[in-house]
Amino acid sequence: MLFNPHELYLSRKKASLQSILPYIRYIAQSGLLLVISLAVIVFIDQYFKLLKYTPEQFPYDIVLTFVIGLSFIYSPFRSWLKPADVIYLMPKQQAMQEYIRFCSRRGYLISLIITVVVVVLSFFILRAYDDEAKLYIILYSVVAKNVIYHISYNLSSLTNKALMYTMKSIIYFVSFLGVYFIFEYSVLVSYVMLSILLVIHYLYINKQLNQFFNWQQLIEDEQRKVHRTYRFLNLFVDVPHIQSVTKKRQYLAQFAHNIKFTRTNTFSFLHYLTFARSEVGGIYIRNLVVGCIIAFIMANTMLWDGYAAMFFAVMFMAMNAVQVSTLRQIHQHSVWQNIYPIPLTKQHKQMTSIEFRLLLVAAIIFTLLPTTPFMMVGNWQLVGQFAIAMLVIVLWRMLVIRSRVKKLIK
Amino acid sequence: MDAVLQVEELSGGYHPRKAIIKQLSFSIGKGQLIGLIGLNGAGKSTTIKHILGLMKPQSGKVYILGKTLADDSHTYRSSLAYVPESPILYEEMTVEEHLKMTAMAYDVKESNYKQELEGLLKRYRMTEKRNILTSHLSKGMKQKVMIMSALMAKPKLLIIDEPFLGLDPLGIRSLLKQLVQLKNEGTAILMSSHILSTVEQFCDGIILMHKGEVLVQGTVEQIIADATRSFNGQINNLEEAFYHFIAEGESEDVV
Repeated sequence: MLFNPHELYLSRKKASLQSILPYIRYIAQSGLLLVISLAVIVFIDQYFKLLKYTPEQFPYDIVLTFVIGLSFIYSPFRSWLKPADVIYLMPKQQAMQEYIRFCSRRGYLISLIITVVVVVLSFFILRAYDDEAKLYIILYSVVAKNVIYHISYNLSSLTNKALMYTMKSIIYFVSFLGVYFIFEYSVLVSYVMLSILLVIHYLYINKQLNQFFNWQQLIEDEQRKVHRTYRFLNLFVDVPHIQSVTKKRQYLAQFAHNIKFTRTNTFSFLHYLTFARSEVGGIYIRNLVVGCIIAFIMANTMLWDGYAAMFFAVMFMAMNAVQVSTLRQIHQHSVWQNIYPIPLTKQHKQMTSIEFRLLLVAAIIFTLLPTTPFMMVGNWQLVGQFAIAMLVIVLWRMLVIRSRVKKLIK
Repeated sequence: MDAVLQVEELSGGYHPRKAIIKQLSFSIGKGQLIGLIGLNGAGKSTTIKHILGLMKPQSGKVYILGKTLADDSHTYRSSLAYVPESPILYEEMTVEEHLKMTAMAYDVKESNYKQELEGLLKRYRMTEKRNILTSHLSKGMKQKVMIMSALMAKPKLLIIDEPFLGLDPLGIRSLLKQLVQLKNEGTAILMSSHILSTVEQFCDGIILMHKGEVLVQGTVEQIIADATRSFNGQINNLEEAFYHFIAEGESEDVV
């Protein structure tokens, strides 16, 4: 069968999307999308307040240099290459050049759109500039994005890593400084910097470029990007694609030694240590910290009469509750569960007691910390409502866990 | 002989109508070390899984101390410990925590656990690794943790599958010494292994499996004598006997 690079490109693109879709669905089910939506609404609200009442000394040139500069260097290029491709696709090196061109074109389009959107959004702040100046900024951004993307793409076929990192540093330097000079009305300096970058590229880099792309480099980059995506998703849901990372987390694990040395606590001991050292423990602590901070800020501003704080606390508590119930899946298929002389029903009972305690701790923290501003003003009614909301989540999850355990035992 | 493990006409497999092991019968007495040998695919692991209660027999019964799993699952399970071919560890635990959990599961007294722990760590040169997460150990060290956990359980029956894989020479020596000691203390041991010289040297009895059936069983001397009789030639050791018995059912290329 004839090798078709475009078909391969389409199938890899689809497979990449399909690999993350289930996690996005889990995140949506866990309520995080609601939290993000609310956060976006709050952000937009605060952003427009900032636009309306921008302080005179606001360093908009520095802030925008940073934001637009970042959009210049950000590259959404994905090759979707896999380690095994070195064996199976390398013989089709010539045709694969075309495949990489498809990938590059996609990356270029996405990054150009992002840059234009960022620049256009920044115009809301740039009231000090007239339309002509804004046109210069757009023009420069499009030119700079093209130059930087083109050079960055070529760098991926370099085998000389020292040269590659040096060039990347120069690109970062030009990206940020170029935008800064535009805001300082030194458009010419910005274009001169871009020209120097191009000259360096054609004089020193072009000669060293391989005829074919650097497979190893692209595969490593791709694996890094895949890992980064999964790590991000793993902040909210458990991603089995990531090789499970066990961390010692002594500050959490030490409490396991308070569990009494008896047969009836065997699986509580295992379950607690699994929580403390697996990703679940990490997510639980992160949710606790982030949730408490956001809810505290909301409580302090009394947004929606304090109910915004409760909304965030409930959402983060619910996410923790979902995380805790995924805990028992980690060892679900372990052979030891069928070998240790402890009946399955008792194993699950021991695990459930740990899950209950973890939920209770989260409920207490989510009730006490974010409600401090309410306590300070003596609004005990809201504190009470917080506590009831948390208890409802604990009870709801315990009911869910119990019904799942019953099914498992059956 | 008090049979610790009694396997009676055991047949079973993954498919309900296709048995991998057929009509197996053997027993292991107190203080006996029995070697389970055979080619890959002979049915050794399936036999072990049936004894462990991980697979349900299609027919036949497995007794540990006279009880089947259905009769008294507590006695059955608390009497046996298992060391798998590849280490299966709870990676969220340190070496010491793993041993502690095993001791808790097998109802070892806390004071006995502490004493036993130090002895095992010392014997297997793992004292310095006691607080290391098992996920950070090498394969050989993981295997040592498996063995230490099984020994911590103080079982009446120890089932040990390919125990020497991944162990360094000192680890193998320690394990063999430990097995002999356990045997002398009255533990029944079923050891599956491909290292025929070790099996010949240390085992009191051999079960040779082939294509899901027990081809021959007895002491090393009985098996060698049996092979000599059956094949009309001088058979000097277990390895030669093994090849002769297996050769009966295989093509020359395989043998």
